[in-house]
This record gives sequence, structure tokens and C-alpha cells, in this order.
Amino acid sequence: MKILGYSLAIFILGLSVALRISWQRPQILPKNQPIKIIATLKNEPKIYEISQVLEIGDSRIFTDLYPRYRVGDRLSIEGEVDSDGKMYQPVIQKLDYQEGFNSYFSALREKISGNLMQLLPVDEATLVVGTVLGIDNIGLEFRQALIKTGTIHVVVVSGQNLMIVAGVFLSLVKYIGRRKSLMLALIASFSYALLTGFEPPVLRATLMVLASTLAIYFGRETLPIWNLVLAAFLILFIWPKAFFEISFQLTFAATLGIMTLGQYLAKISNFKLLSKDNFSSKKQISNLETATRSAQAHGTLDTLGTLFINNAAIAVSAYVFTAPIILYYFGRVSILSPIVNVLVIEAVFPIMILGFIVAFLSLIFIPLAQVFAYFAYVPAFYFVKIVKLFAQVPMEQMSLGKGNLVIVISFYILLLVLIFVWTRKSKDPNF
Amino acid sequence: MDQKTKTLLTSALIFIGLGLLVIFQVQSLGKLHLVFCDVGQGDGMLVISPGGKQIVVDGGPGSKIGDCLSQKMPFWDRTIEMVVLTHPERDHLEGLLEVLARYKVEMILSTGIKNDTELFNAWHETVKAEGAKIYGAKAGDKLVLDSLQGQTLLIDVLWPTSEKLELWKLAGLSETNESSIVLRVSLGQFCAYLTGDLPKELLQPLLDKPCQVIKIAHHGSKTSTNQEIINAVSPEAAIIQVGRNSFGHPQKEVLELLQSKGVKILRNDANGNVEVITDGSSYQIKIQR
Repeated sequence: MKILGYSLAIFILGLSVALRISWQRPQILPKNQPIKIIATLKNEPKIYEISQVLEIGDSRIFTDLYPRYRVGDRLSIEGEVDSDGKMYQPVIQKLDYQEGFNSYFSALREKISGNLMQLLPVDEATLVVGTVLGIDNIGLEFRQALIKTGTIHVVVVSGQNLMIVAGVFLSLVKYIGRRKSLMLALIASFSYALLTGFEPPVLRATLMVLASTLAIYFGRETLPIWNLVLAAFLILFIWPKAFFEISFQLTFAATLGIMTLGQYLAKISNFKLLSKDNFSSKKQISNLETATRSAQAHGTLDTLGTLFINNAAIAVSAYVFTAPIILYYFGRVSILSPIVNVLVIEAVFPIMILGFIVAFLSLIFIPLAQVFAYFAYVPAFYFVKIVKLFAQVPMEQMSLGKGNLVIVISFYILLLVLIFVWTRKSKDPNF
Repeated sequence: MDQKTKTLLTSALIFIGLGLLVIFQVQSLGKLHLVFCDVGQGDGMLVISPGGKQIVVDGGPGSKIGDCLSQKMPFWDRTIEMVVLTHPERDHLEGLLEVLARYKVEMILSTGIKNDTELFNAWHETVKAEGAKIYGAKAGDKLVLDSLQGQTLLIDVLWPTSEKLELWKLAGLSETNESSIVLRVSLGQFCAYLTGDLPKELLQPLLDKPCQVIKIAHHGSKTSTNQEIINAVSPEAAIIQVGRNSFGHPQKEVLELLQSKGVKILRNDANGNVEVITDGSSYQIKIQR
């Protein structure tokens, strides 16, 4: 109950911040007529290969790569916004620069991102900048490869990255105790959300992932699915529109998948590898954690096998639960996704940890940051190569059901029925 | 697997991986590489000397040059010895800002010709901040990079002349392309012409020596080349740096002229990155989409 109390307190803290953010209503620009506006940039421009995109109110303004604009710039913009809310090649004049926490913080992110780009080749830098800062500067070709292999969630801030950040501190449980490791994990998760821009989707993912991470680490005490559903309801109370957003739906589905099917798959797969004693024990820890810990007593092959199985359980369950949503919106889903995710999942952890170290050191002493960047390069290179290799596989993406709600609902009903039947069969008290 | 074992295993794999990557990437040293990068509709080239020094000649539009440099340069090398801006137009200049953002640039070679655009102002500011040495190129300059078994890698500046530069300073310049730097890169018996966007009338008297490779000027436009140039150079391979465009580049006449002379045509829009590798006596061409 204490754990539940802590998590609720943190949810409320996070949500109060979120409420403040959600109060900021975007300015609506007139469409299909010449306009001249004076506005201050509040969001970081998105940098693409041939253009930069500024967000002003409800519109997106496409302009040349240079001169670069930054948060805090007060701009005079002349042009015409089309019906889709896009303005192309406007006349922009920089009037002023407004200093403040937002602009200072954005400048810091820009500085770190610039440093990382100086220390690593393009794709590897994109990967590290994406995982550490949540900045999406992915080139067209690499983006397509990431989408085709179902790994784009690693490069843009997602539940998986947040889970890693929380997991690092939660794994300290046996050294510093539950309470401290939990508090550190919560602080780290929110710091990470802050570092990555504190955008509502990131904050939502933080809340949901915390709900599930806590559950995975602390087992039945925190009533895993209840935690997730509670988090989801609170999020929808604050941002009702999120219900219709793909990022929210995907995060919820993936987390639910990992907590239900993922746990179940990990348990049944590890059964042969583990001794009976471990399962009959009354430890208040989850199956994934049980599998990992108990495997310590076994040989290296068994250990690696367990690791692989757990990773596969996470990748497959997230994939199965998100597939209907992806099918609904995009009409196709990558068959390669679970395979590639299993292959790269172990590289994400060192990329992120070394990425944080490089980012921090780059602000203090670049030569030392460069040394760590070389180390970060290895897992990043592996990740990039695997993604690009599989992206070349001439395998068509499974294509059906775009916009078909019946398929989505039928799929989920079938999935839930199957899980219910399986869990009843195995009489697992965790479900 | 506990956290300690996992950390040790990951660290060991990283060290082994680092060693293998260094060994693998060192293999490309010892030869001259001329990489004509697929930067879209524009020019962007990378010259890697046998000793591993890099020169970037133009950056193309956008930031695609960064991908090309990342693929062709060793991951540990974050310094580019020289950047050449042939002339200050977007399709040659914009990507160089990306190069300055990602690498430490030691020297910049340009004509000093200015362009009244926001992009050029941004370039000017970035160059000042970079603190690189700036060298004003003029015809007759010879840049010696390094040597391979007694063969010297030499870059000759063929255009613009100092007289023209003086004239443009006084009277201005109506057509920026006319100020385009033209280079000849030579190693042993191999040479290549890098012609920027210089119009054929100005280019023709400069190309007085046969070379195996020529970069066709101005993306293969109708002002880019003529029979006299192709006869004088008698190239075996012609590279056209071109992307999707509405100008009709490369012109049909240019392609027909090259085909009639039996010149192998390599285009970035069709072939992706085009890499010429030579040891000074023979050469090979690799393409990579």
C-alpha cells in the first residue's frame, strides 16, 4: 500500500504540472489569406534535411535550413497558411530574443545536441540525441529504415527509453532499499521527461511507464494492471484528446501487452530453464525479475537464453498489442519488427547510458566526452547496421485493415480471450 | 544474469567491437578516394588523401553531405583538414554549414566572393565562430597534401585568376558561377578535374591536360561542357552531380556528347554516391545507392 501511495503522490505531482501545460491553448492562425504575425518561438524548430519547421499556434511554418531560429526568438512572419495549417517559404524577420527559463533550457539542449553531433557520425549521433534528448532530427532514409523495422520508438522518446531510465535506479533496490530506489527512479524519470522537453506525449508515457515499471519490479503489491489503468484514466482526465492520439494508444497498448502477455510468455518460456523452487517461492517479485534472478544460479548459456527469452517476450508482446492500432492508422505493419527489436534491445541500454555520460561530459571537457563517444559508437553502430540491414530485406509489410475498426476490436477481443483462457489454464495468481 | 555480469559482458563486447571497427576502417587508407556524394541537386565532394586527410569540396543543398561524410570517413576522425567553397550559391554552400557543425575544420579555401543572401550571412557568421584559417584561392596555387610511395597528392587551382578577382572586387560580378573555383587533383599518373559551375567558355582554356575523370560542370546544364573540352580532357569517366530538378539537368545534348565519345557517365541521381579510388597508377569506381 505504501508503494501505491508513493506512486499516487507522484502521479498527482506530475499531473499538476501537466495541467499547467494543458492550460496553454494554441493560438489559431487565419487560413488561406495573406497574414503578417509577430510571435515568439515557444517550441524548438524541427530540423529536416532541407528545411526547418517552426510551430506557431496551430500552424507549421516551413522555411530554409538557415538562418536557424531558436526558442525565445521573436519573429515577424509574412505568408499564407493553407487549410492543412502549413505555411511555405514565408518572409521571416528576427526582431528580438526573449530570455527566460524556456529559452535557456532549449539553448542547453541545443548545445548538448550540437556537441553530440560533433562527436559521432550522423546516424549514430541521431540515435544518441534521440534517446538522450528526445530531439527528432532523423534523416529521411534512416527514418524509413526505422519505420520499416518497427524501431522508431527507440529514437524518439518512448516508453521503452523511460523504462530503461527508471529501471537503472530500480535495480539498485538490493543496495539502497526499496524506498530510496523508488524515489530515485521517479526523480530520474521526471528529470528525463524534463530533459526531453516535457512535451505532453512524453509526460503521458512517463506516467504510464512508471505505473508498469513499478509493477514489474514490485509485483503484486502494486496491482500492475490497476496501476496502468489508473494512470491512463488520470491522463485522459487531463488530456481528453489524448484518447484519439496514436502515441497515447500505442504506449498504453504496448505497456498493457508487456504486463500481461509479456509476463505470461516470459514465465512459460523460462519454465524449462528454471528450477522448480524458484516458482514455488513466495517472493513478492514479478516473473520477469524472478527469471532474471534465478538464472544467476545456472550456466552462461542458460543465462543468455533467459535474457534472450525475456527480451523476446517484451518485444513480441508489445508488437502483438500495438499491431492492430498500427494497422488501423497505417494499413500495414512490419513483420520484421519483433525480430529486429529482439536483436537491438540490448544495445539500447548502453547507448542511453553512454549517451548520458557523453552529453554530460561534453559540457565540461570535450576530449573526455570524445573517448566515451567512441564507446557509445559501438552499440549505436550495431543498432544502425541491424536496422539498415533488415530494412533492405525485400519483405512486404503486412497490409490490411486501414481504418477498419471491426478488425481492431475483433483482434483485441480474441487476444483478451486467449490470455484469459491461458491464464486460467496455468492458474497463475498474477493475472 | 545479474547486473554486474551484464555490465562486464557489455563492456567486453564494446571493446572488442571498437577494435574490430578500427581494424576494418583503417583498411581504406593508403589510396586516394574521390567521393562524389549524392547530395541532391547540387555539388558535394569528399577527397580523402592516402594519408587519411580529408578535403570537402562544396556541400550541396540541405544536410545530406553529412551522411556521405559519415559513411566514408573513419568514425574516430572528427577533423576535416580543408573545406573548399567553389562559389557561394545554395546548391554548393548550404551543406557546408552542416560540415562546420559536425566537424572541426582547419582551413577554408574560397574566392572571397560574397552573396547577398541570408544563407551566406549565416555561413559568414559560422566561419567566424569556427576559427578556421581562411585562404583566398587563385589560379596557380598548388596544394600539396601528402605522399604515397614517392607519389605526391597535388591539387592545382586553375580558376579564378587573380586579375579576375581584382576586377570583380572593383566592378562586382553579375554571374556567381563565373567565379567558381576549378581544381585538378593529381596523384601519380591519375588526375581528375573538379569544375564547379564554371561556364564552358571559361572552362575550355583551363583544361589543357588529359585526365581520367572529370566532374561535368554545372550539373550537366547546356552551359557545362562542349566537344572541345571533352576532346582536350579525353576522360574515361564523367561524373554528373545532379538530383531531381526542374531545370532539365543534365541536358540531353551533354549526355549524347559524352556517349558519342565513349565516356562512362555516372550520375548521383541514378547511381547514388560515386567513389573513385586510385593508387596513382590504376583506378576503380564504386557506386553506392
